[in-house]
Amino acid sequence: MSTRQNGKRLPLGAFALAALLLGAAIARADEAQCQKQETDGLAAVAASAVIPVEPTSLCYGAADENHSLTKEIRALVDATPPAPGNLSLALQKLASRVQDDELYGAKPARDEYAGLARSAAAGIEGGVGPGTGSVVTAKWHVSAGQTSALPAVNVGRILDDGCGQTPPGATPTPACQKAINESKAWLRVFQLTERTLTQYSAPALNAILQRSTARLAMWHAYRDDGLPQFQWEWLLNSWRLNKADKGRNGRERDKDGQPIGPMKVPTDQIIFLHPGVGLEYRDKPNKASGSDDSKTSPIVYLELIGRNRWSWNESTGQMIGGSGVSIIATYADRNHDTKVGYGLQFHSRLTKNYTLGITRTGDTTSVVFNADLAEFFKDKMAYWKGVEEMSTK
Amino acid sequence: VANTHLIFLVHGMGDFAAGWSRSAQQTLQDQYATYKQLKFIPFGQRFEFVEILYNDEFEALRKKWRDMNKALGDALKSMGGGEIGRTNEDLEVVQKLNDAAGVTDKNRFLTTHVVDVLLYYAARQTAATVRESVRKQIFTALKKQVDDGGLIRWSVIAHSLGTAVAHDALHEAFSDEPTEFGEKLAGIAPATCVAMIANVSRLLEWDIDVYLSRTRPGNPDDPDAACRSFLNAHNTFDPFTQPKAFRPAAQWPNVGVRALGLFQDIETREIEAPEMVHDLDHYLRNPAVHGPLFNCLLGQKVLDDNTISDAHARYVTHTPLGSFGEFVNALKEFQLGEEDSWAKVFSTWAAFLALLPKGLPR
Repeated sequence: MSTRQNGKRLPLGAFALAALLLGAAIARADEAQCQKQETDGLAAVAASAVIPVEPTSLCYGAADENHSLTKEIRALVDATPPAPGNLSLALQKLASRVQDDELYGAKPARDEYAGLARSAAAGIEGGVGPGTGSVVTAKWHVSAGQTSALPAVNVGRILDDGCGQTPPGATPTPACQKAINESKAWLRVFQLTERTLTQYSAPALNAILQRSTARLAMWHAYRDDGLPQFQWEWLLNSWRLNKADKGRNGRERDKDGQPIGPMKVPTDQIIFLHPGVGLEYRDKPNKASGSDDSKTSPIVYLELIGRNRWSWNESTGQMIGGSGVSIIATYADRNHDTKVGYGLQFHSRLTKNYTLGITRTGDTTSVVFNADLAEFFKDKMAYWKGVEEMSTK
Repeated sequence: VANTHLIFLVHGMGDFAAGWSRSAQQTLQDQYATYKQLKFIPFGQRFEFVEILYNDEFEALRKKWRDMNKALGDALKSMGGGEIGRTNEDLEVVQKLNDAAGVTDKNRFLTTHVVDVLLYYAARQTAATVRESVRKQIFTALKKQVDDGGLIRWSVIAHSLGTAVAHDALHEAFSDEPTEFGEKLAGIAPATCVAMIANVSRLLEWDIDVYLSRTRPGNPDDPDAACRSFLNAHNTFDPFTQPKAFRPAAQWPNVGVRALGLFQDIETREIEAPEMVHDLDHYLRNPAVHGPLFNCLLGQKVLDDNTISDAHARYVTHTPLGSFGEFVNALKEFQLGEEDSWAKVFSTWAAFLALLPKGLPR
């Protein structure tokens, strides 16, 4: 039996489905409220002649539903963290209930569900990976009145078959009421099954979140705890990352040639044309030339090329270690001495702000103390200038 | 609420901060309330928005560069009275460094739009950070959903640059190596609907092919797919969606998925105002977009084609081009015939004047 809407004929069972699912969508508190919503929904549907189909049941099997089966299963599965033994037991109880209770309709469908539920229970006991094989959660997601796991049970069809002769808004016939009860029971079982398998997946989901949290911490540490990178260094290191990602040690590829998972967080960085300022200490001022230079002098420098390395604590995302070396060129504005020097600069993450360099200027070896400019603000420079002035007096 | 369906909103290019999605949320709720088929399922009882923010990652990088350049300039300047920086040439260098610091000022269109897009496209570490940030926000919300006793129900609505970010983040999530628990994420927590609004994922494609990635519809029948349904919306006049447009082949990702209607490509032509053509809210107000979007979120065709096309027809009449078309159609009613009387001419003229918008010279 059908009715007409927008030129299309729709089965009357769809109205009952709409009302049922409507109630399921809205009601939360208890079974009585669910039924009240169904009644209200049926009246509204009859009045407006539209189909408010909500594809998933949010009432039957929900945590706050006052139903014996829901309470029994929820008591087993809702613990944090869930106990695998209880999850398996919950599925076995659901299997037995469905298989033994004629409320769930035709025997083959009941047997099929029982088989699937017991298989999932065995999977849990056997430690099958969440989201795989018999414990795939997504297949129990109700869509358009049925699940992918058990397509033999179609709530829409059950209602259509049972309520097809019942006009919208009318008191359901015994056959229609039986179909409604069967549909509600199946929706409850579907949600409880999905919830049980969701709980089985919960530790995995938590592990995924922890891994993501750690990775993000690594990327933040790369940006904030590694050596500061100017824009051109950022792009140069990006080029290296890209090359490494496509190389032998990069991400593996799936059957479609696409990278698997996120890019690996690097354990090194290239230092390239990185400017800075600092202080140079020469133990031997050029007295021969009559120099009145002090032993210390402010300098500007350029790290021509270098590399900084570290490792990761994979579980926390914290950077471990961190040391590097670069070739630098320095310039000190000394009145009577060589101004340009070349040498090596050494980095350590533990003393990031004050690294050490050794340069050769003419025939003199100098020690360079570098304050990284990202951390080196005006007041610090003023402090060092004061130190220098004191040393020259 | 445990049993609600989470809708993750992912922003596009621009200087976004917490609360950026309020307008889009309101638009969606307002439009949802206009359909009698949906009023029995109040939006707030069924859905819950989760705002995704990744602009803070760009901003952190911009700030770092700003501070580095400024610190360099300040340091040189502070030495100016001493040994270095006392010449005009030196001071010019300082000025240029300060200018360089200013380039990354937050309030410039160049840095909040263009540079962000370029950084995402060209800087691998920036893209990786942004993707991980998005994933972490999604996983955090999903874990809470489970901890609260609910089922995993979620969808993504991404806009502009956010479509590329969401696409890449989801592919990497759903292709990732198992953890010690041996999970398969697509079997645990696939999205119900991924909606790409003003999709630029192919334009910004770098390491992941958008036509071969896991960010495709078909779950659970496709055990690797990130979502059940995929919606792609673009406006003919939106300039950002034209180059390297996301237009998959007829069999993408497979014939079965297409036969089930799990992928929808929606092209709109309506413009409320030229400057709005790329705006998320502008897209969401269009029934040709939000109608299928609601169906996608609900996982079922609750709004039928007639309902959507009727709503769309009403919407069109409120756009400038649509109202002009209505005006032209009305004018056709005033066609006078060769033999019409003066009375007919005058009555038609009066009706024509009444039709004209107020304020026009008559």
